[in-house]
Amino acid sequence: MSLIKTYNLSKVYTTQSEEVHALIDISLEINKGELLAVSGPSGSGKTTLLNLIGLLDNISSGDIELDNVLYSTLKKKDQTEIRRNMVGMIFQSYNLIPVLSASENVEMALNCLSKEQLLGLNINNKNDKKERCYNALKDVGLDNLENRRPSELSGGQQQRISIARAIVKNPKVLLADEPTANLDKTNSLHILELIAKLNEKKDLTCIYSSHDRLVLDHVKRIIRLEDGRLC
Amino acid sequence: MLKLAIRGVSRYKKRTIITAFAIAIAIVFSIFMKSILTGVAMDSDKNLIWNDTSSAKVYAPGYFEDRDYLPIDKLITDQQGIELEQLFKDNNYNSYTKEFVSSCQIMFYEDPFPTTGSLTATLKALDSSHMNAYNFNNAEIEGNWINKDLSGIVLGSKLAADINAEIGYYLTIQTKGKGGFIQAFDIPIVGIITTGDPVVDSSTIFSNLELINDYLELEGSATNYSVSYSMNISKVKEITDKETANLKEVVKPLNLEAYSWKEIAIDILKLQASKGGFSNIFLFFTFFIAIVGISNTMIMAISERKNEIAMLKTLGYNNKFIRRLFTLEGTIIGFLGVIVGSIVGTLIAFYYQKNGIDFSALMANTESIGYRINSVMHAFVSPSQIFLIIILGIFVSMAAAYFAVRRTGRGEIAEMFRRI
Repeated sequence: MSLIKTYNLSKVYTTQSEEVHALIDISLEINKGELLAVSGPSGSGKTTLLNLIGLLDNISSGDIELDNVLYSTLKKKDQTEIRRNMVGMIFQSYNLIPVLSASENVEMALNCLSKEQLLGLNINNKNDKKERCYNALKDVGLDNLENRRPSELSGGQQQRISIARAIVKNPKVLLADEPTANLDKTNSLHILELIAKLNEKKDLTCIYSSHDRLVLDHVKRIIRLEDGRLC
Repeated sequence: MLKLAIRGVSRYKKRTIITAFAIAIAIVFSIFMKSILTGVAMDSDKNLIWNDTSSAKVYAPGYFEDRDYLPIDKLITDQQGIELEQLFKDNNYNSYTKEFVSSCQIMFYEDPFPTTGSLTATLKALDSSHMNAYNFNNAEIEGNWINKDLSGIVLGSKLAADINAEIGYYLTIQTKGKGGFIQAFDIPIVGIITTGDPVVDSSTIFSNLELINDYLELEGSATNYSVSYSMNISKVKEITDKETANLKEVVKPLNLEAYSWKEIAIDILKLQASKGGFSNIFLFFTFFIAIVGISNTMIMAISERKNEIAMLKTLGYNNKFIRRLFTLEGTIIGFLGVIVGSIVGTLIAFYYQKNGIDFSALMANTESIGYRINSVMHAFVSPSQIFLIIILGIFVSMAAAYFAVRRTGRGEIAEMFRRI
């Protein structure tokens, strides 16, 4: 059963002097529960594809369908709702808020949800919220470091917090943009195994963007891009 | 959001402290200046009402228009005075003083004075039996003050100092009597008075009306009657318009005119109002500092935290939340500065309310600064003014922060990440 479909997806960046075609006519399907990677050399359009699926950028032409919702029909407000409920994202640079502790960073993903959305996650009160954050940190093996701030944690630990933050709201899809690029091999392996476990345990659809061999060895499917085209 | 905003503010401690400190300093100056000018204006009004204008004055027709020249041809006659005093009693105006005021030339001669000379002054003769339109209770009096047996004059202290006069010295006073004849008489100085009103202290000679009535053959006539509504200045200010309207009606049957202290001293009050506006310049600068400081701080914060903003949007926060968050941060900085500034400013104002600022050195070569005060300025701490400054300070901080962050969050998230 497909969760994500792209229809002749294209993205053009316009600079002062030229037009850059980052993605050209991409049509693909990704099934629910898949663990896959978008691979290709630098500038091939991997991050752009993830950004478009995650609604971080606008589509030049074509369309994307996520869980039967066509992006072309969405207003800005609806796009925010999709990001809030259905998409979890992790980045190469973690992007944690430095003045918040590990559990507070995770909680930030829940603080923007409406009361109804929280009830849908069985969160009825503050304690439920705390418990859910604690469980998310436990899932990534950081339940004993919940009060530490990002600056007091290693790169691998910070990335694990960002994973906890991405999964705490039970998203439909986890988008991981080069999540191991700043990590050593041991930490990279931990992260990849963790995501693989989440994929299996929670039937979470996970999409990497990476050209790291280690990442490609940990996925079941690879989508290759070159100069913005599928190959 | 509040927790996140407080953490955000505490992230850049130096910057926060510098911005808040600048606002605090500006607030301190604003409160100080506002308190000083309010205190000075209050003291000035008090001196004016207690020592010079009283709450209102009753004149013969035409006197008010020429009052600056102290005319003696537009007098209240003795008969009018008797009837007026009866009307005062009938209408419960119990605090009034009959008086004769004229311009005079005082002449002094070498021995006992150090030099011979003359100068112009104001002769103010008050009915010693009924002087309760004025309040000289706080005045410092050396020698005698006006009483029914007084057979001399009481000099304003600054005037006495200017001519090196002492009690017991004689002055020759030349002025016009009723009908315009010129009269000159030698009269001893029996007292020296310091009222705190620079105009009175530097140019007024007091005497009792009974004595001057004889010298100037006034036949019981007077230039005016002064009336006091109250010695409480705040109360006088509150009831002046209503009471004066009433007084005008009371004196109308005698073909006399009544004018309030505000009408009599309109030029002084206008000058004070223009000087009072000066304190608003400080307020303007305060808010200018708040606007510049907070805008700059917030613009820097936004620029440095672009990835955080992008991440918040990725998590599903909307632009409204992000703008509110940064606006709140700016407001917190402003709030800190305003509160610290208000506390320090109020303490300083309280100190100067109690002790005053002696600016006699500044006044040494200055005739007048527009206010009717002596050389010590006292602040007045007005809770309502301080509250207004606090509210305005916080509001301006909030508005400045909002102005700085109003476009934050616009554009594509991917673009924000790319620009980091």
